[in-house]
Amino acid sequence: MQIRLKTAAWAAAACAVAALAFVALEPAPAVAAAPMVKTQAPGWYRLALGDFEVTALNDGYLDVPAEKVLQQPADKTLKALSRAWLATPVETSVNAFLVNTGSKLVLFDTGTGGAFGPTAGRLVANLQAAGYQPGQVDDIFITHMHGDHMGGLSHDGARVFPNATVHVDKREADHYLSQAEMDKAPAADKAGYKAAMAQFKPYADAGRLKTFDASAEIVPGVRSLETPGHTAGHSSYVVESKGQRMIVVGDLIHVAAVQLDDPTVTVAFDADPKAAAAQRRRVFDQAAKEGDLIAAAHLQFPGIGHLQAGAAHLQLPTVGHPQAIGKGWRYVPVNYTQPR
Amino acid sequence: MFTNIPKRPALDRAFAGAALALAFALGAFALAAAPAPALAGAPMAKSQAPGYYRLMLGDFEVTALSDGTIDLAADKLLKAPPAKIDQALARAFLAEPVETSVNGFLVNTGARLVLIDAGAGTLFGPRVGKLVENLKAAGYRPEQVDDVFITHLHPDHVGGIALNGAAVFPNATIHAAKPDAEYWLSQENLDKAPKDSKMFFQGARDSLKPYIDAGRFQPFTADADLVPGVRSWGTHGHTAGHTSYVVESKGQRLVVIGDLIHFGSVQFDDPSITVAFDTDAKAAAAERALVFGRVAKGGDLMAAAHLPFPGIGHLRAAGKGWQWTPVNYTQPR
Repeated sequence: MQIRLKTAAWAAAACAVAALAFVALEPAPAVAAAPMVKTQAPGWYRLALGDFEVTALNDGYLDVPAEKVLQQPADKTLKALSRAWLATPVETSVNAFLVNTGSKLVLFDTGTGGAFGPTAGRLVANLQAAGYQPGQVDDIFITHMHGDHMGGLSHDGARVFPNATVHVDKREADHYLSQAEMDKAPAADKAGYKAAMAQFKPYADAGRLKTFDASAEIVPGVRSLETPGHTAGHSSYVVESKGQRMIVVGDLIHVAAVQLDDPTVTVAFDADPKAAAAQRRRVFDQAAKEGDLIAAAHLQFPGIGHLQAGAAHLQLPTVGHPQAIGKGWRYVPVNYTQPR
Repeated sequence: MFTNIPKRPALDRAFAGAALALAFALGAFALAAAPAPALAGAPMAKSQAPGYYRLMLGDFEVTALSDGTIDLAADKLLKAPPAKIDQALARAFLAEPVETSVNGFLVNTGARLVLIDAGAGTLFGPRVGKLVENLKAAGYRPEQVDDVFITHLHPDHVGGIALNGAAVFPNATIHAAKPDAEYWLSQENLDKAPKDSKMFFQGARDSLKPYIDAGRFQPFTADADLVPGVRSWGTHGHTAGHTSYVVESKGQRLVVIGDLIHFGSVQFDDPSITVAFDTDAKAAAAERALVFGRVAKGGDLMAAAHLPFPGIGHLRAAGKGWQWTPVNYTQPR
């Protein structure tokens, strides 16, 4: 640095002596030669929902070979990606959502806990960066028992959120926490059951695991909305304050660049693809109709936005002439705002 | 728990009392409560994440910096019937006034650290003026900035270069188009400006003064490579010398377009709608059409001062207008 500064000073002096016209044409010598920083901003984003405070938390990303996992010809997927200025594999966000209702601090999904490699597992770091501590979380709602949603619950057999009660659909618990179901599962799938059992055990042992049977209000302002298909007990959650609603949709969508335009395309991870597509149609239509926000685990961070019905990307309506064309939705990410 | 709340001396005692009372209340509640008391009653954090977003452009590192947001009444500022504007806003799930981002863009070319637009500084109220704070959060220091390129000399783009008469970027050269400098620095124009417009002229003068005094203001006249990898592109109309900047590394291009668009929710669908801030509205609309067309055709990234932070994305032609695709959220690799 010392040498650089001296060089810069020398160069500046030389230029000054040489000619003023020359100085005007040539950029002044770089003072700093500032090294590149190459880190991303802390992965949290905050907005108000009525009286509630919502904080999207990024757990990191997974590189998803979309053309392999989406259940349509690869060339169709690649074409849709390129229209969205993306290429395969798609750097795909893993998001969770923290809601402070004023009386309860509630977390929806918990990220991977590092189980999917080093590109994800940052949820707790981002929760702390956002001004909270894991010990403050009162309730955790799990959309489903895949590793990138419940992998952050426990670490080395201990609860990461020591004071939280974990809520999950009974069908999901009955499936993934069952030795009999694991025994029945293909060899390649058994690890998923084992991981679920390991993640939930510390909460079950402490009497902090609660299952629910049907759509119901679980804490004031948060109710479950059964959306089985992606998994047997996949749940969405409706968060509502002062008439404003946000639906946490878990894995009702994976690859926005494809599935918003053609929601019939399903994904290899769906346990029951037909049911998964039907739930996507039902919940997204409802969100579009009601003007509800959706919060999705795999839409690009922060993963919160609105849906406009009937507008495919190719046929964007012009102002004043909304056209109900296409079979999908247009996603409008939330405006960037500062809390007031 | 309360350490982040700035204390005002007058409130200190009352505040401490309230905190103590609250602590007792929480304690009592925790002791008395049944199965799962909200332990936390966690206070709302109510802050926003540091306003920077980073991506790579070829070998260059680009950092979008938020200066904050301002509330703008779209239906008063846009030159179209208010009913049409409000309908477009509703379709985008927005309402009046529109909370509008103010963004600057920092580019590390490897050889130089370049800032394009500097936010409002202290000229536009407390909800903006956060660019330097975010530049620091992003891992840089103001004295590391080698060059500041100003798209135009409106206060929300140039106000951030000076504070209390001193240069905020002490080692930087400021670059702006000569027609803008001549217009906004003219004593005559200041004198004849209506009272409520004078701050635009005064703001430009005050912001540039420390750099002019130090011989660090370099107005340019024609499109040119100002530093390797950054080229100016005269896109006059919004102001007399409004300039876009083309940043290019390894064939990847980012076009920083300043104020070629203000309200994405309205003007992408109907780019013919202009804004009251335009000096020459017709030219501004023509430049918008020209630049957007080239960006869409080239598959370039575009960075805009007033699109929702980070304000960087791609464009695709769609009917009479444009479809805007914000950049995917990625981690630098």
